[in-house]
Amino acid sequence: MSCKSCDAGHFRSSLEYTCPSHGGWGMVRIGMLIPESHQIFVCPSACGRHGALGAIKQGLKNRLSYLYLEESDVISGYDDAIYDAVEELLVRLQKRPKVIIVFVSCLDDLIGTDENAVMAELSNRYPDVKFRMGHMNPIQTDSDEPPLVSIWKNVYSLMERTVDTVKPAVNMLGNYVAIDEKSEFIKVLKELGIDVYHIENLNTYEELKDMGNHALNILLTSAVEKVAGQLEKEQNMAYLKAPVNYNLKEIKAGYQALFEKLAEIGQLGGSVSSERIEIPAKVEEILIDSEKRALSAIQKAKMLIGDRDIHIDYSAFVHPFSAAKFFYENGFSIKKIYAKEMDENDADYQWVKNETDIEIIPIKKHDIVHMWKEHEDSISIGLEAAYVSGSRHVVSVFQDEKMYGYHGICLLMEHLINCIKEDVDLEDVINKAGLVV
Amino acid sequence: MGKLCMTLPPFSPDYSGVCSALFPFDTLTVLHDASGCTGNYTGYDEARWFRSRSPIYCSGLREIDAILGDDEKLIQKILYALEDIKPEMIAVVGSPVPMVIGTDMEGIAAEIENRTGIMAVGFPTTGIKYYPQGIAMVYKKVVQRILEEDNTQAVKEENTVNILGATPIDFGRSGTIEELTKFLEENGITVRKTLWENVKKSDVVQLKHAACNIVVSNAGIELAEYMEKEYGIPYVTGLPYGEKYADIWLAEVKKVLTGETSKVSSAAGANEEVLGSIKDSAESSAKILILGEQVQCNSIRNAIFAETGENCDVAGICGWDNRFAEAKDTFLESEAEIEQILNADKYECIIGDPLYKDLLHTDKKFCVHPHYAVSSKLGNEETRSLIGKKVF
Repeated sequence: MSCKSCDAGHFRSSLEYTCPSHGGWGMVRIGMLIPESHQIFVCPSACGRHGALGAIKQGLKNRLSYLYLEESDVISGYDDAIYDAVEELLVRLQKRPKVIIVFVSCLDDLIGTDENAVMAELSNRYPDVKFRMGHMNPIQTDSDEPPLVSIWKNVYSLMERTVDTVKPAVNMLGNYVAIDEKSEFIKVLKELGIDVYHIENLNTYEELKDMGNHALNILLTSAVEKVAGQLEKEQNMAYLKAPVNYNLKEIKAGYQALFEKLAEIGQLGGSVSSERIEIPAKVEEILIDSEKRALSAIQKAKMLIGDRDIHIDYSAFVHPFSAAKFFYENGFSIKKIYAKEMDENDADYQWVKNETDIEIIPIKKHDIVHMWKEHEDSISIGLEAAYVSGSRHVVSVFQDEKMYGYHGICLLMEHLINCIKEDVDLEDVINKAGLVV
Repeated sequence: MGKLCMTLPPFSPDYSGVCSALFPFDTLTVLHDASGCTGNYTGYDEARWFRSRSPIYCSGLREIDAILGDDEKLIQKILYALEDIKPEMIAVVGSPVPMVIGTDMEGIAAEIENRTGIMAVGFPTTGIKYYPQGIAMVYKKVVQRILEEDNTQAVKEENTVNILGATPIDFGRSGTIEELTKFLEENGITVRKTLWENVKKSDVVQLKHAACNIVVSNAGIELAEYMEKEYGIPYVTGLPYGEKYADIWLAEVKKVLTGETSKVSSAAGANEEVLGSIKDSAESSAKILILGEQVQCNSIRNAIFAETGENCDVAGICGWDNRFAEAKDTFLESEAEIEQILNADKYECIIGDPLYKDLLHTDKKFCVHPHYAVSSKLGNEETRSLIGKKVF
């Protein structure tokens, strides 16, 4: 069955359907990336249920507490209740946290708790603990600071520059999981004498703080642009936007941009001239070899998959239209993109819409309940696509996880080849993914 | 639940109770929220969601709509959806933000009904109360309304029952309701309607033709009492748990079907003639604590008593009715209270949701009885039906 809104070619505002496959890491899990931190949610009990159950699944619940609000708290304000709860929390926790995020939910945006005052009071009472005010407020989804932007701001604003001479290291920001350690990106930087850091691999708050002394922040998603801009302004931390891309030319251009940035901030040794940035031969060699591997992986996957239809979604790829372009241009039978939203200014979206017959399906539109399980033989990349299409062959990845650069293409092709080897128990996969809306 | 809570997850909220009770109806349900509340329900409170097609939606509430009180935007989205979805009924369900800004959910529903001619119901749920209140709200505002608007005479059909108060928030994927239906049918009793599976408005009016209502959770009591008052249909609370107690419970149902008055089969003194004096045994300290939904817990208690003669205390969460409580039973309103009672020296054995184990300070015998309102799908692997089976 076709979907009217797709025929209309736009995403009209509608009631939103929530597939069982819908969700992501959620505020709790992202905030938990901060080592030695604890979270306390101050909200009606209902607001915390999905986050708490998700945290139990992830083994994080011992770092998550709740202060449930009653109607009377909403009417009279709850600043004092927060102070009392934090005091009790610090008494009862066996290990004192280095960081506490006090989360509020949507309703706080309407009653206007003075968060600066609350943070100042808590910092004054407990100077050995860093406090942040978190907002689990999807009601702000359309604003300039939606929840994802807000939580990344909380996380990375804990980085602190304390030295004049920065360390030869870069921080990867905005991706939930560190890129694969076999990636040529890590090898290239290692060859240049630069270490690569990701918050997932840290053990202590001090290590996170110390990331502020690294030379460059590399932004993988737009959700971290705000905090990166703030860090640049307030602490002189340089940044470079370098999102995941599967287009070979774009990857090559991305490396060139990286080298230029490293040269600009004095991290490329003595091989910089005004005319041209000279890259060590070994680095060139790594990149050429990696590109060849990627091309070979594409050929192999194409041979094994043949003309099988491929459906992708926004949960698997941060930029699903760009990913679709990669599949299309490399001869794969990409048929559907399940998207949550689209940006008319996105060139890849326009290309898909105007130059291809790939169907764009708004995954949250109300009539999605009428259209599923019609494509069991297809391959789905992403759980939303899998659920609606009914694909037996599924690649369960979330937001390009681990994939970056040429090696990212190799990983993606490996996932494709592996997924056709067996039928998936989608309900089991979804449950194990521990998604939180 | 009051104040600081460090171990347990929040329990299923009132709006999940509404959505769960409405799930079987041919209803377009809209949870008026930004996304998280709907995610609670679809992700963790609705065991039937996977592969279902129930049109339950999120309104996609945004701050500007809340500030401007733009109810028309919600109404327009519903009208747009009605181009594709053809329900018998529409429900608009509240959440914390509508509570704060004072959205008139019932007024919005009235406006929708006026414009569409389709029955529409508003639920002023808040996310502060718990699921039994939501389920009871559906029974009162939907089921009672449909019954009241129907002019046909109630004609009792012998040996027939309805099952009231059954939602997966209490029973999860245990198969309890399916096995209860089978148990009744095997014993010559026809289940007319269960407010659990797909039902049309025309099915709801059939409820009044049953000879008896079986109430399987606290949330079903109010409807049962209404139907007793309006249609003279008696009711029996509880479930036929355990090998021996299943027969005792069945005998109670049969008595009611043949003309006896309602049996609150788990209330103090109600079963004295068949179970002996629970009340007397309660005077001696019980060593077993059953923690969970009150009607189910009472049935487990009766089953244990029937098997072993041992008495248990019951502690309830989320919903409570003192009429169904023994002297030492208690309603718990905070994690601290739950922690305190679980660790009381007098209890050697606890029966309850597996997540309660994390509140125990010392090793105690713990019999797992998952409660979906607590552990959701995390308890799926350990859940089972106790109908006609040895309980623990």
